[in-house]
Amino acid sequence: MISTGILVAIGIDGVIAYFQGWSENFILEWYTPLAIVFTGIACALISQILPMGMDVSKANARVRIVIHFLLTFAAVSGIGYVVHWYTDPDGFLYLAISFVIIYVAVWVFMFAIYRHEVKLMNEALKQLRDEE
Amino acid sequence: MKVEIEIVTCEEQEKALIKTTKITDSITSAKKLLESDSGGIFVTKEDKTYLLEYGKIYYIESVDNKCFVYTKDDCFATKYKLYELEVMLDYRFFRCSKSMICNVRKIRSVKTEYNAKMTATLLNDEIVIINRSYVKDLKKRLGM
Repeated sequence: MISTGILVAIGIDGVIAYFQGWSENFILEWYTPLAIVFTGIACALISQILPMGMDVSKANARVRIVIHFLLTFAAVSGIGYVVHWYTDPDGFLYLAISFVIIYVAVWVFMFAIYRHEVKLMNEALKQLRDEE
Repeated sequence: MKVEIEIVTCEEQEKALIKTTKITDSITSAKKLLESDSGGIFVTKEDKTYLLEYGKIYYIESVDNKCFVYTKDDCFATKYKLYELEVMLDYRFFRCSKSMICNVRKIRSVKTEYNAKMTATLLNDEIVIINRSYVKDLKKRLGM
């Protein structure tokens, strides 16, 4: 999901660059798609390391979300450093802001999907459940 | 009364619709007959063995390699393993977690928790966990 978000962010970046007349400065390196894939794998691995089991309390889940955020941000900024997604503090700040937006958007998107799924399931259960 | 039978492709789609002007004894008997369970499992409680109808089962849980069958307000032990029960039980039952099988017809509602897992509130107000990897199976049972 985060790698998809990065891809969307790069896409939006490209569109902005085009309308601002900077499209000649918007260059995607040959390794950029591979870097996005590696970022996705790294984020997926972090999510696997920090599963949200039912035994996890609400407070503990919040701590895990913060740790998850920090680790995924470390992965994205680390890979970003290697593949030159940023070269100066301004670039890092831009990456950090973009990451926060993507991270929040992924959560909101997932929440909306789950909510819709639950609504449909509860409607289906109404038709099926026994009377007691 | 005119009777029509339509063949459907899967058990989940099976449904009987009776159109009647009033509920008579025959209609009630027909309803009971259609709703009656063709199967059950042998369970034990306090050294007594019972045949428990599928329709009475809310969920089955495996604890320390032993399976316990829960009804509305009772609990029984069974000699079967969870994987054996999964095969034995009919289309109303689905695996909701590694250690539990639940009767879909006993679920009042489902809810997504803060940790993205799903919980189901049963008709007896008990709450069971539906692991996200088994949600697909539940959706299938619901015809989604």
